[in-house]
Amino acid sequence: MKKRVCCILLAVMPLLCGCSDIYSKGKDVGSLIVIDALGADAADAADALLRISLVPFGEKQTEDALFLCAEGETVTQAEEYCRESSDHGVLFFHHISHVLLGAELDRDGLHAVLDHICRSPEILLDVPMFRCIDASAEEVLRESAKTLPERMLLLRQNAKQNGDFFLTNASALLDRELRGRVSLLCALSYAPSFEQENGEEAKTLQFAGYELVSDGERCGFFPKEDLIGVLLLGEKKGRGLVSVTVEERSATFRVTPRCCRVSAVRGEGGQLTALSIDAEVSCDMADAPYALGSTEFLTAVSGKVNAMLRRTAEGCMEANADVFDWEEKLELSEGEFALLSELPLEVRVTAKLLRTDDWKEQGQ
Amino acid sequence: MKDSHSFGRNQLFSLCLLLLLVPALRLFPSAVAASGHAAWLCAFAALPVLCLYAVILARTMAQRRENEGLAELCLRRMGRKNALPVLLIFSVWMLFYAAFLLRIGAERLIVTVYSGTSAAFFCISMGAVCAISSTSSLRTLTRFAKVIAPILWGMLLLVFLFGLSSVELSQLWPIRKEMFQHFGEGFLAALDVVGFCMLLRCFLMRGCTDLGGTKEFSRFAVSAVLLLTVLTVEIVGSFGSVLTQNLTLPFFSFVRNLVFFHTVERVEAFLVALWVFPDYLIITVLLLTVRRMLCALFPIPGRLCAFFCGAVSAALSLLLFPSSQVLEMYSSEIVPAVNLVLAFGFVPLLYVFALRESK
Repeated sequence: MKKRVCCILLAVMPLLCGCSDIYSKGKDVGSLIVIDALGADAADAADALLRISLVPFGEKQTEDALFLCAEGETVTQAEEYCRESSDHGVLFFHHISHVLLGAELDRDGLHAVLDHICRSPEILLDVPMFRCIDASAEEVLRESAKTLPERMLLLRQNAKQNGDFFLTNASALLDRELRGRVSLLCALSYAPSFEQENGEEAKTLQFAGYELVSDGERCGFFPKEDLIGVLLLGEKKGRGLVSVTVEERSATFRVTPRCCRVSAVRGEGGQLTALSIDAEVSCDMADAPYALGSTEFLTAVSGKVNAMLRRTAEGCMEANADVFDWEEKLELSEGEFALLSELPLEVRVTAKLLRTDDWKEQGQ
Repeated sequence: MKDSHSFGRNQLFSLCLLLLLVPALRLFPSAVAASGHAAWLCAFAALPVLCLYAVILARTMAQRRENEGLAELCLRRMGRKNALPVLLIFSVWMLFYAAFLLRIGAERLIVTVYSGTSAAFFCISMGAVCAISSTSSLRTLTRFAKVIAPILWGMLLLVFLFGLSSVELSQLWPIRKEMFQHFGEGFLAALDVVGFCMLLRCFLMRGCTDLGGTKEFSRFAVSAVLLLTVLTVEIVGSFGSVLTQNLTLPFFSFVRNLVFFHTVERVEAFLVALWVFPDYLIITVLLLTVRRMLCALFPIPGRLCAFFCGAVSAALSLLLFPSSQVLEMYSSEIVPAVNLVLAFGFVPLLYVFALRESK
């Protein structure tokens, strides 16, 4: 009996290790087309919901470069069309490192992309997502197929290491959409074009700010100039190094996490009368036209951050957006959240000097 | 008395804890996620009931004689006439459960690694391997479990350790009153997952040299509850309760997102491959239990019965679940409900029956 069992097992083993293509399509590693970026746009055809664009990793920007594009009712269907149209090899979606959403992609399209990421066993749940605010995803991917991986890598490094901004990923967006909350989505735009060595004009992408998304629809926008406001109110993790110009000179502010307190101001009758925001920033300055620790310097910093905070808070209230979970943090009763946009804001910012080395080097 | 088929309580404990992994990883995170921030409390809340259940199981099994499991005990105490329908119901359900596990294991392999492949290959090959294994004694399986356990627990430990960095306390705290609206579902899921494994443990006791009584059952319940709690904290803490509910396989998605030492990532295929072992163990244990019950009831040769059970479960796995929606319905509703009824209905009934007899 043991011999028979061993024989059966030995007969089955070659099938299990992938030596045969009985149970699966044979996939040679060399024939894999590793997709690096997925773009999603509104569809042109009436019977399709969205149009996807796929950029394989390491493609050169030539006329015959492989660029896959298809429309479908779902991302999976569009992917299938891409597979059928590609005679070059097997599409491999496991290494998609970013998803770009076109400016015109509507609510249903965004939900289709999110639903696909949620169910797909291939794409990572925390894949960074970006909205192209002044172009379609296809256009961006076509124009920058060669430089896009480096550009996106640089953007991600800036976000993670320098704290220029923070990335928003699919799982965070999915979570907030499912809970009916407003979420932030990283927005990209074209930087002013410049002339390359060969005389051609080059377009590059840059971080533009954050789009507010509610139920798949765009409901507001925070430009990158107000990033300190978003960082402070959102208590986002990260180093929070943001450069701000004060009085035409450059200064760098380090935004300390969890240094912002938002509270509801209530009158004697318990009615909501104002929204109070207390923020504390520590700053590192360089080449600033003020004396060390001078009141003028700290006042200038406070004023600047105050304006950014105020703009962010007002933008949030106007869009009726609970992106910073105010409804929960302030423990507002039913209906009170809708009144926020009519309330006056009381914003106070305290600035502290964190490091003075640069100042000392200037001989002060 | 020790013989060539006997095994110790630690071996049985190790085997049963591995059996627990199958429903725990598949079902538990999604089932408790409806409780929101309170999800991680569901398993703890079930602990007192599980301890009470452990006492009942231990007292019931204390009546067993040497080389008796729950099926043999039931047959002796209730008489053949009364025990026949009960054991037949258990046999039919266990065959169905084995078929369900064969199919859901195949679907998991298809969804995660072998996309576009037919489920038939996985169902038939796994069914055949499990049928062959169920002809041997349980001692072989306990030894196999002992060998494979360090690999599985080591992998799980690594996953949990590296997953800790993605856990956000804000997804688990604060706990509000309204979160307890769906707390019952998570509580029942914990009872179902642990309770059925404890029941299965009673069927497997034939050949166990040292039972350990209430303490041993309680040790299993506490270990299982701790495992479920850690699992919930990691998954719900990482994805949040709402997203966890919407994921097809939350644990798989959790592993997919892990990066080890900033270099190694996408280890989910390795984990899916390892996941086959608990599947193999539980299906074999179910087929072996059915074989023993049928052999105790009817004069059938053991090997023939084992192959028959394997063939039936493989055939059922291909015939009963025409679509993934049907499979999902069975996975989230029918299977947990029947397991719960069998675990918490039958044994207390047997216990009451035995009490009445003793008076």
